[in-house]
Amino acid sequence: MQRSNRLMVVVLVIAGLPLSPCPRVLGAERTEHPARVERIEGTKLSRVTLTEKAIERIGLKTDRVREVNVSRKRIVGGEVVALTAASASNPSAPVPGTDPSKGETVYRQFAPGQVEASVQAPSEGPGRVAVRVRLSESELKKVARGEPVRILLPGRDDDDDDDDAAGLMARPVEMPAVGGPTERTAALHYMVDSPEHNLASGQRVRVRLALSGKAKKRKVVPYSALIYDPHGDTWVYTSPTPRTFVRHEVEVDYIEGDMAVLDEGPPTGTVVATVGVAELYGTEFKMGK
Amino acid sequence: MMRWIVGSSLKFRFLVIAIAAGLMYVGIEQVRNMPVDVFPEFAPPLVEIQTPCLGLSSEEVESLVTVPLEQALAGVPGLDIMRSKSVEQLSAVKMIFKPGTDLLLARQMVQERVSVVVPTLPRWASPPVMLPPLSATSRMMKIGISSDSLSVIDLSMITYWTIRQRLLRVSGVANVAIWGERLQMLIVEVVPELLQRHGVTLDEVMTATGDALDVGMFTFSEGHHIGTGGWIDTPNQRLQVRHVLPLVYKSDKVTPDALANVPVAVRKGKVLLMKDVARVVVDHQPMIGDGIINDGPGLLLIVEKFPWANTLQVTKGVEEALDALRPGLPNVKIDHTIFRPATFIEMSLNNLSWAMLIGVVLMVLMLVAFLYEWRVALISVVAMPLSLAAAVLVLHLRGATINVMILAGFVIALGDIVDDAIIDIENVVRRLRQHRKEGSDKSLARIILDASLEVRGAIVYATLIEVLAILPVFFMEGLSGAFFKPLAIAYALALLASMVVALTVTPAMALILLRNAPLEGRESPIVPRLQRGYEAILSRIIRTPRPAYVTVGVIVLAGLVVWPLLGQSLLPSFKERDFLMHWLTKPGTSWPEMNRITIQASKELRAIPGVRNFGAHIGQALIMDEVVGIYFGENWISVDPKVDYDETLNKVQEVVDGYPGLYRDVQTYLKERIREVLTGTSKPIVVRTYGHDLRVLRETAGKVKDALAGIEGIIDLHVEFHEEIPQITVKVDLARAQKYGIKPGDVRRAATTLVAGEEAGDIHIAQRTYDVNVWSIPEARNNLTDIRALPIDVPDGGHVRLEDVADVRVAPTPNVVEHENLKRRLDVRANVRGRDLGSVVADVVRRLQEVEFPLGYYPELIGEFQERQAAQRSILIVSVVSMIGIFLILQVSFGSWRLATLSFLTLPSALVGGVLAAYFSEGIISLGSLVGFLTILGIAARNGIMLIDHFQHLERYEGETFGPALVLRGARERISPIMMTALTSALAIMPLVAAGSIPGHEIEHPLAVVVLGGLVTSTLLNLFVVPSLYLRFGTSREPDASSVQAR
Repeated sequence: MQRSNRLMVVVLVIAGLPLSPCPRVLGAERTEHPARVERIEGTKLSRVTLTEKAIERIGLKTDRVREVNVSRKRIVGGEVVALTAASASNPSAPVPGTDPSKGETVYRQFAPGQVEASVQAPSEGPGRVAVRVRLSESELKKVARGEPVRILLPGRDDDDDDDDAAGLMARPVEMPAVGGPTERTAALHYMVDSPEHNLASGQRVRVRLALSGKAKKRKVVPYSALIYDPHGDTWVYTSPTPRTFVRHEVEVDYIEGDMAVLDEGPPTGTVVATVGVAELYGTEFKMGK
Repeated sequence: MMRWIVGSSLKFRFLVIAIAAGLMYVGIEQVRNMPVDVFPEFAPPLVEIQTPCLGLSSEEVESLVTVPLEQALAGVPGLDIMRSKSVEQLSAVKMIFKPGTDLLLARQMVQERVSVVVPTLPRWASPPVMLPPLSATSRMMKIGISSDSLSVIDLSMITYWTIRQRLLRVSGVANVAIWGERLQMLIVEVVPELLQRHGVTLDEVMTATGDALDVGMFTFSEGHHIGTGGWIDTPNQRLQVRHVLPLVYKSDKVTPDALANVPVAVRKGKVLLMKDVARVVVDHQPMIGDGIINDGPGLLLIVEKFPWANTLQVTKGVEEALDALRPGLPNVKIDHTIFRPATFIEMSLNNLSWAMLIGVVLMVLMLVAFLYEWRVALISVVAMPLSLAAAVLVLHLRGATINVMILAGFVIALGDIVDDAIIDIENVVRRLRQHRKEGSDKSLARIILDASLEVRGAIVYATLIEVLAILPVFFMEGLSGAFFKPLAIAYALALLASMVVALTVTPAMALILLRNAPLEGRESPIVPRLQRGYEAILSRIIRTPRPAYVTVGVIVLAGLVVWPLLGQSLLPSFKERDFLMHWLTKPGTSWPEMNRITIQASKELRAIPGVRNFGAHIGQALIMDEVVGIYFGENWISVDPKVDYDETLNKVQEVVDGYPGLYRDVQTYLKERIREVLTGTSKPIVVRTYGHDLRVLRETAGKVKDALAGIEGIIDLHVEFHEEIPQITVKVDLARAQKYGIKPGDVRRAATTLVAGEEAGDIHIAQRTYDVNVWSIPEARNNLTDIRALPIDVPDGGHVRLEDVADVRVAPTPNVVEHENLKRRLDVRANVRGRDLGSVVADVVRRLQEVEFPLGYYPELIGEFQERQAAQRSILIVSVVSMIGIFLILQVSFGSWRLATLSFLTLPSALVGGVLAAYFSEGIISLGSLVGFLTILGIAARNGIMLIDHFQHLERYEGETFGPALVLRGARERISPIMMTALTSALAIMPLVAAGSIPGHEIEHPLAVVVLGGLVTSTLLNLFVVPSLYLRFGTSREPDASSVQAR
């Protein structure tokens, strides 16, 4: 080759060095992202879209918001008290609703500490008993007054917590407040309907009360759909379309077993995520990429 | 003096040989017994104090426990950095001491200070525990324990009492942490409804439980006093009284039956038993962490070693112990291959040894080809093990362990070791042949003596130059220093040893072996051909040197062009076969969910061909090294050595990347540990933001993260997971509580017992201890509604619900608080991929300057980068010093400033080859490559000396006149040894280059590549350019010119 050509070649070779396909440290080819997060205009929420594979990987499952009949019952402890007829000569404060002159028996309450007599009103036959249920303020507020209750007998009805028909029926009666104004717990009283009972005075029994409350049909979601944010607000992830998820705020009234009863929430029938919620939460808040 | 040394070696040759043989024997014995590890201990001395604090949130832990501890410990002598981490239920304070501090002394002083501060800590914080001293790569094995038939509780008891105790007896084992441990205990699970029904208080249950045992925990109860048995004395005998607790056995296991029938209270004459108000069960404690083994819950044991323990030895000890235990545990599956760094060590050592062996074989073949005389080859080859043995002995006397870096140093020195011997013996043979041809009657001893002294100067100066060239490495600090100093020391020691050998043993052996050796007519066929060809080319070049100069210029230019294009990194990725994956869900995630998602990953990963097993640890265990919440998990898999490394890694990465909503990555242990030692984190780029208020700190870190997003090459950019998580806060409403006569402490104690359980006492059976706890049934503490409904005893009978006397709500709390040197801090971290670290960091620095920081908040850039910068800076400075030293030595050697300058200036061109080689292989300069450059420098100088020295010798002692003829003759005579020199070094490291970056070679491979490239250019330079340059710039030397050489 001629001198000049040789020079040319050399120059080109040198110039070409930087362009040579030199192996740099190559990262592994990035496969498709498992999730996409997009801010929803005008809100602080984002829409999380997962790939099929990602859903399979995290084992995501869904369920629907349902409306179910929720009969709210609570089982509390109660004490059997015997009732005595008030002797006419020793009237206690007249009890509203009863009129001795009509022949109705007046029942008198005894304050705690007093010996309870077990004199039966002869006209009544086997003694009528009532069950005293002591409740705290908050509980008192929740009880559905005026609703009958069931008395669960120890031993026999122990396993019948969910059976609404188990136990003895008893109706609410008004009785004067027990004790003085400083009494901390108020008490409700229920008179057992049936005269046939094996209840002895002082016996402790269980009482199934009906709690007051909102309408019988309540919105529920599975407990596992709930996620708490740091401030205590509760959320679920609804799924408007099969692979997208959007957070939706809910108000939880109470949680029982694996069911959360909502005061407010997405419309009935909405699909919500029940397994893999933690991962959706993590995705929305950019835990990984 | 040299004359005396060589002379005496010749005179006492048999003695010398005997000493040499003895040395070799001792050296080899040492090598067999010396402890071996992959890496030197690169972590500075470290002391860690952990304090479990039941029931405290992270902020409470920080203020009540961590801060007092830090303030007490801040002034410990020798302390360099103090880091702390406060998570719920645990405080961990880590003290890093200056390198060189005596670890045991440091521990002593820390312990003294801790004792002072302990009385001021809240009483429910357990006493602070100082973790055992651990090695930098502390985890030396992970063992997965699972069973198809036994429950995890049974497994836990077996593991804790049998397996762990046995493993702790293995020498070198510092601790065995058990993840997933479920301590078997008797639990009295109170049924709130039954309590209310029967009117029994929680206090009564707790007291009854404590009193039922031999010794109860409650200091206020009767049961706290131990009743001892006493004795009676009959007139004749003393009979001891022993009380046997009826509570327990069925074949050595605790059963709940007896405790269930213990009376709790008496109501109206009716005796209420424990089972009337509670379910008595055998179960385990609330979990702070868990272990997943192969798709299901199991136990993950992490065996940790002391800093002075040797991984291979300890691994062997542990495996022997496990083998001894296995026959007695038929239902227990013990898998010790989940993480076994010993495998990597064995592989690395194996590979490196093979490389050495092959290199040696190649060298011997080359020697035989060139020298064509077995005796001569033998003498050259013997120098090798001898020098190495001597070097090893010196290392042993200094108390060092053999590690991969030392072996690498030896490998690089191999070429020079042989070379020293070759130079000497080659000259001896040449002179011998010459004299025999001339028929001179000089004695063999004299010939050898003169021949050796002829080249002695070259040997000595060459060795000194090489040692000087590697000098900068001795001044490396920190992590790089810990890594590369052993390499430099080994290299230098080997060189010095070989110099001594070349001056003593080689002449002695030559005298013995060559006495009657027939050397004439036994020249290698290669050599004459080589000489002729070389002479032809060289004469042409001497005549028209310009093309040669131009070529040199071009090559240097190429090197300069390529240099800025090279990427930079500190450390290579080590091809370990055990991978770890960080597996973090959003802080605040629950234990069942962590288990579920980890098992999902386990199933998918184990389906990848080549993945042998899976072990994960989640959250915390008792006395361990992960101070984290339960949302934090690490998955470990081990991969079969037979499958393709990169392919499997890619598949694993793909699976891991496919899980949204988790923080996840794939790493190898060594890399993670090295990074963690550097910064306390495992990321190459860390911006540490300091500040006081946690919320503002979080915002500031967010700003930093936003500023850095989008820099090319940055991946996994994230703020450390310091977040607010939801927490149930119970605050007693005094007014309401007052009505019932309830005090805030009562509420806390009752609620805690029902939610977290409280220990009532212990049962001791058969050398084991079982807790007895009082708790509540799980159904009573399943959700927030349940918490609100927790029954609190009312003083004169009855119960109230928790929400009646307290405010129960969900409020935010930080999940962790971290300090650095007593200041709160938050990190923004990132990984780097696809671009070199140096340029990414430059961008980071630029963008950081644009971020506005509130008053009192400031950033600090740390990470691998900083370490590398520091390393480079010190290397640079010392390099300059050593360059000057080399120049001076060259001057002394040649006795001429001009020649010294000439030789010195040709050195950089030698480096160019290394640069080009690095560019075409990996495109990266790492610390290994830098060390390689230093090595070439020495070798190139050595070659230069050989040639020029010979030219001078010819002129001075053989009467050649200065001119082309001189140069040609000198060159022709030196071509053989020069080629041998180059080839010995090249062949020694050839296996390292050819094998690529396999386990054990990750640091040495770039080194070898650079050295090979440098060798090529430096040899070409020496052969074709130096002669003509000498002709041009050298001057005639008077025979009696004062020479500083001490002959």
